[in-house]
This record gives sequence, C-alpha cells and structure tokens, in this order.
Amino acid sequence: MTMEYGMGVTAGIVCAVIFLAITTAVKRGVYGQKACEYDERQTIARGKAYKIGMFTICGCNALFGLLHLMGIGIMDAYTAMLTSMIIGIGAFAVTAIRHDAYQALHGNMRRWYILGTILFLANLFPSAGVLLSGEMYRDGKLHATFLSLLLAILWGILMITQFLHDRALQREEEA
Amino acid sequence: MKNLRLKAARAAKDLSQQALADAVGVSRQTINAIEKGDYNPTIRLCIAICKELDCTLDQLFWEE
Repeated sequence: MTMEYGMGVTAGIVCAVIFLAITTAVKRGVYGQKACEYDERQTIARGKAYKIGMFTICGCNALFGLLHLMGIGIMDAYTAMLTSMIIGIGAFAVTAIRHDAYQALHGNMRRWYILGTILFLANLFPSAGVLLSGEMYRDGKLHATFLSLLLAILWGILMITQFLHDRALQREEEA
Repeated sequence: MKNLRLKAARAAKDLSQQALADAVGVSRQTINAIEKGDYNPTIRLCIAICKELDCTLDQLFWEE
C-alpha cells in the first residue's frame, strides 16, 4: 500500500465520519430521539439479519482463505477482507429490507433513494475509470480499487431490492 | 392463524392499518403481520392495540 493510498483511505474515513455526524445531528434535530426508531418486530428481524450478515462475513473470509491456501489468488488479502465485509453488509441489508426492518419507522424513503443514487454513481464512475485503465488488476489479482465497483454494485442491489419490496407492498395494499 | 377479530375491530373503528400503526407506534407492516398471523406481538403491543380499539385482550387475542 503506497503512502498516497493510505492517506486517501484515511481522508475517506474522516470524511465519512464527518458526513455521518452531520446527518445524524440533522436527523436528531428534525425527529428527536425517534430518528432511528424500530418497532419490536423490526428489532427481531434486524437481529436475524445481523446474524445472517455475520455468518456471511465468516463464510466469505473462510472461502477467500481457502482459495488463498489452494494457491488460487483472486484478490489480495486486504481486498478480500473488505470484500467479505461488504458482502456481509449486503446480506444484512437485503435480509432486513425483505422483512421491512431496514428503514426506521420515521425513515424518509425519498431521501434514502437520493442518497443511494449519489453513492451508487460516486462509486460507479471512479471504478469504471479504473476498470477501463486496467488498474483494477495488479499482479493478476484484484486490487483494493475493486472495492468501489463492489460498493456501487451493493448500492444498486439495495435500491433494486427496496424498490421491488415497496412495489410488492403496494400491490398487497391495493389487493 | 389469522387474527380476523383484530381486523374486524379495526374496521369497526374505521381505522386503516397505517392509522392503527401510527397510534400504537409500530410500522404498518407489523399490524399487517399480526392480522395475517405471521407475527406474535408482545403483551405490551397487544395492550396498546386493545386500548386504541377499546377492546379487551380476551376479545382480540384469546384463542379458544
């Protein structure tokens, strides 16, 4: 990992923390303590989703470790670890969405879709550039720059899952 | 097992699932799940629903 890359990762984490702090403060200001409130059924469903997410992370890590031991290097260790975490988060989110437990009681769907679209595009464009320039592969293995593409795919999957779920609920209401 | 008594009591009060959900502080899907028999609510939520619909626990949730 180069010095510039390390600094870039650190700056990214700092920006994410600042962004989260601001959005949480704004949400608290608007909704008070109810900003992230879930009802009892949602809390139980989220617990199950956390469990699925955790086992997915463990399973992916074990798979990547096994492939590494067999000499089949798909990606470097750092990328493999973060890929497992992103897949685990995706498993949690998709499970929670399917059980109506991802969005909080006072969640604003429109804002979530806007944020999701921004994050999807913000990850897709840089990763498309890296993919076209061939920098995603280094020494025949996927490099950490692959994570942007993975995050774009994750956000795409989450928004599609949420959209299809909302459509199904709407049909159920109309029936 | 479907909870048709809850559905009937809600309809008698002319409340939608969303209105009842808002009144007791849960999501509409939770009320829907209770009515469909997919979710077994806690006693706390049962009491909140009963108070909102002016019914007793026996009337809405007791199974013969």
